[in-house]
Amino acid sequence: MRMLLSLGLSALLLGAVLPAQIKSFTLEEMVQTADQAVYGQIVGSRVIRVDHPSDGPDLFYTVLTIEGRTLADSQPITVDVTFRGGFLDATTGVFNSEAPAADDVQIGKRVVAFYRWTDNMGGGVAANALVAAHGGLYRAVEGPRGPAVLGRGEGYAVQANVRLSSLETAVTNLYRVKRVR
Amino acid sequence: MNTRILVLPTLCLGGAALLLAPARPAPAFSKIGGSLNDTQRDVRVFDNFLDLNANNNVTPTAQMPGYLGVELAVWKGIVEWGSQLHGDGTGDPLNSNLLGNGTANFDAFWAGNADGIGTTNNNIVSSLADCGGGGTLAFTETPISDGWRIRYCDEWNWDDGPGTISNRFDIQGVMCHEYGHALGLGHSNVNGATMFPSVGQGQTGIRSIAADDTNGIVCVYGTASVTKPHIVATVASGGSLTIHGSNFAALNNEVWFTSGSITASGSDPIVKVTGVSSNGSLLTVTIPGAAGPGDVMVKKPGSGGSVLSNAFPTDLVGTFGNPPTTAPDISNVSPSVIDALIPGSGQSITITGSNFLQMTDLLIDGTPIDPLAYGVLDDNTIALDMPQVASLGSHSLGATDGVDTDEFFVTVVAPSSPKLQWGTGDALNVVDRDNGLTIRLSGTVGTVHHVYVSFSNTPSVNGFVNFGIGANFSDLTNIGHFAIPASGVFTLNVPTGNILDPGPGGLTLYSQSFQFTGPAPFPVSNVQSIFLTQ
Repeated sequence: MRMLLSLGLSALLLGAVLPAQIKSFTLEEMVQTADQAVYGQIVGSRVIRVDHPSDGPDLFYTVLTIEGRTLADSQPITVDVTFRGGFLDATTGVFNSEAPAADDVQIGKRVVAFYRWTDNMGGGVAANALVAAHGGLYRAVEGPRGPAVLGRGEGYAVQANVRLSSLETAVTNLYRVKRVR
Repeated sequence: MNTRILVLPTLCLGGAALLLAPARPAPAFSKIGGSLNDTQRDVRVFDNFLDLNANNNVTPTAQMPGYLGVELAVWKGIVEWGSQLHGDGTGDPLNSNLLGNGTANFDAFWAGNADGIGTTNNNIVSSLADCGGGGTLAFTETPISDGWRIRYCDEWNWDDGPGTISNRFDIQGVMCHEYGHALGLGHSNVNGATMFPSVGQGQTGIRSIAADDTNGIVCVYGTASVTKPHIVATVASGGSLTIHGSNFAALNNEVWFTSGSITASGSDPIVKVTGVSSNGSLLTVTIPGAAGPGDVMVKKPGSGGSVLSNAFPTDLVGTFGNPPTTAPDISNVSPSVIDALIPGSGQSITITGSNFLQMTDLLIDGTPIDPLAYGVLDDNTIALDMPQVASLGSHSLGATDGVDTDEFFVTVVAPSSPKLQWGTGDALNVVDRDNGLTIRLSGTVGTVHHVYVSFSNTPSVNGFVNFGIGANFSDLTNIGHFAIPASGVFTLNVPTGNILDPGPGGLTLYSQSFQFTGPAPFPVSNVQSIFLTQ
């Protein structure tokens, strides 16, 4: 409960801030932007390349397959979430300055990811895009009292480390409000 | 994948092992690995921005000639990381921000417009119509060892400034951030740093790099080398560009110009003049036809950031920066104590200093000296045949370029022994009787000098005098005695009618004087010879 209160207060204080590079987000803004949030394990990862006549050549995207449950209503889900950047092999591909850290997206890692469907991420790629790139993905680790989500600091939707259960409650409430609106 | 993939926000996660613990790593910049070599310093824009506010700045910036809109905002964003102020540093009307002075061994080069988005290695900034993710403003594609590409997400409302930007996002500030990635930095968890991962609408503070950002670029490239070329001014005139500064190589410098036209995305966009010589602080090149307003850089032979100068503006017609003074400067005169009369036209006084090649006149007490009386041996040395002055004592020698004059004071004294000069004072100097004859005597003020002339240079010696002329007193004619005035020099102008007619073949005459003061033998002057013609 205390953690929920803390998250709510942060949202209030940072209500005006956006993500550069990535725009800064509060948790409330993140929920407003994202279609869904998933907690689960990364079970697959692949990279696609697009060369597009107007958006440019050498557009690389990483597609993560996450198996787990939705945060808002705890429904089982397996979903592909996409972000910019990635390598087809050791030399073919790009790093993207706003992509999640490689260590965070290894197969087997547990994460919370916020995503939304977009018809065009660039190059005509339609996908569930990771919202705010690295700002939409948070590592989860096992703690003595259950899973915990690692916060990323000021400007991120999850600023401080928080128990998954607390985050889940907060997100559920925010999605409930979102649906009412 | 390899270990370089350890990407940006790992610092933020440094405390992951300390689950739920309040302790955090100290805030600091991070690096993505690698750096831009000296062939990857160009930055171009492919202007495909759709947002009208991204291209509506029509306020020119004096130090960034030739560009407005997105291009100008991007240019400002990159020069903020430069080793020195860009030009005089002006261009950002907000936050008292002077552009430049990142203090590192790094400078970016504004290369104008490209004709396309280019690959991830073409160093081009462009927009992407819709990034679709709902939170990314812009991104940089790396690795940077072979170049980069920066994209702005055009679904956001962008503003090219130059002043406040209302509730839109700032192209200049975001460019400053993204170029930080291109040069090798990751995100910083220092709030207020340009490399902080996020920014808000209307915020312009990240246009100016913070101490943490400076620490980051210095960490990647090192502190600017003391041998790094440094441009302080550019002066364009008549199709040439003169670059003032320091640490230029004597030979084989390259001068880089911004292209005057849109360049192909896959090409090297920099207009280069190679094989340029300099004196270390000054070089001049003919402006290439392909060059346009923008920046110039000097690259001396070698590689790395220490061989590339700072970027400096030019519009190819005017002056930027403050060219160092080129006025002549006298640092020494030798000897500085000078006899009132030194017979002959020998230039025995040596003036040393600098910028003498810029000199238009050498002055004595403010009056130009006959140019035949001195020679400018090089930029640092003048040889002078000291002219006669009106009085003994302190006198000013001045070197002027017509605007500024530098003076050095010398002391004119009476010579310690008698001096005699006929005509120019050189041995056997030719005197045309028709022009008269000037005779000068010098010695102790108030002493009386007797002057003799002879057709012979066979000596005449007795107990009173020790002459080098006169054929043992058989051929000596006294032409008078004269007192040395306060000026230390007595001048006698002999008119033509009082000069012996030498006949059509001319005559050689010898002259000498003695000073009529005891004890004997009396002090004598130098022997003076002339060749007298009709």
